[in-house]
Amino acid sequence: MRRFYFEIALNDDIKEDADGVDLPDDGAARREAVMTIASIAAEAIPQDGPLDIAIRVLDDRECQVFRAHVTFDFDDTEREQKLRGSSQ
Amino acid sequence: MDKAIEFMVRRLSGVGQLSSEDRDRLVSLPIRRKRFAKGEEIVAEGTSSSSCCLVFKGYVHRSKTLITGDRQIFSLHMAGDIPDLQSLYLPRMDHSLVATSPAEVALISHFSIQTILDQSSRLTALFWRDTLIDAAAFRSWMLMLGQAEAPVRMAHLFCELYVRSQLVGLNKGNTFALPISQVDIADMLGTSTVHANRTLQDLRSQGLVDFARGRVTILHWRELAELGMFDESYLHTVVGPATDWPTREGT
Repeated sequence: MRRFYFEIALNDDIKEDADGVDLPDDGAARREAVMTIASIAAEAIPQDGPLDIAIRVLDDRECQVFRAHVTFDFDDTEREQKLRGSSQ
Repeated sequence: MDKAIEFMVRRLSGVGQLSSEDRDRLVSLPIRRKRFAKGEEIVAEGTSSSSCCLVFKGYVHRSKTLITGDRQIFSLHMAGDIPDLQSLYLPRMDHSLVATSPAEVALISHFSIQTILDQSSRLTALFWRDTLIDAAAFRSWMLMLGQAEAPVRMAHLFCELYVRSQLVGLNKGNTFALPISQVDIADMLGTSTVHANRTLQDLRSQGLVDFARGRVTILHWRELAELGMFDESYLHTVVGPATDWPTREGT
């Protein structure tokens, strides 16, 4: 088992991981990161504008093992423009 | 009264009517105590057992693991519970029973349980009721696993454990011992360990609950129950809602 640290950022709000998680190898750490970012994405509802979720996995020597990010980039301007057009 | 039997009496009296004759029948049960290390298998999937395990110290869980190594914990059991009561009629285990923390169980042979059940139809009904409550808890966990987000699931889990440990007298004020790892919590909630840790930090920062050094402290019961969408009726206790119990603190 090796200890890995998972640093997670929602837009500019970065949360460092002081405790870490023990996992067998890099592959398991990568999988843990992917599952985590997917869960955060599933539970996060973008409130005001786009949301970027980033995860960075560091090993016990602070070397980066893996990094990924997911962006919610939604756009509802087209429908609004149509609605505005029809009301004119 | 033996400590293990005492916990079982508390549990059964908390979920139904236990007559003094039936209580004496439980007290007469021969038991064999066995200690298990954290993570040790008590009864393995696929094996057949000829006795049931009455937990009286620590925690044990029921789980199954996929060929990929991913594990789901279905239920967590504490003192007073007989998590493999079903082995009485389904002796071949379709899941594993594992010690989640260092645990002690009292082994009671199927034969002796069957003997006292044959003597009392009311006791049979009470054991049946307890098994049905176990199934109700499974439905509740299924709803959480399938439909709720991680903070809701976690809040719900802490609320359930609080009410159940209150029932058998394991709570100290607004805290109870839960010497299990965050990996176990994650496998109960069906999340990654990192996401479970993150969710716990979230509940902690909201001031609802704390889970540190193997103890859970309920800081704000009402808010925690609200977040967890927790309605304890599925636990079918006969002592009234836990929120009315006199020893409740930290509400």
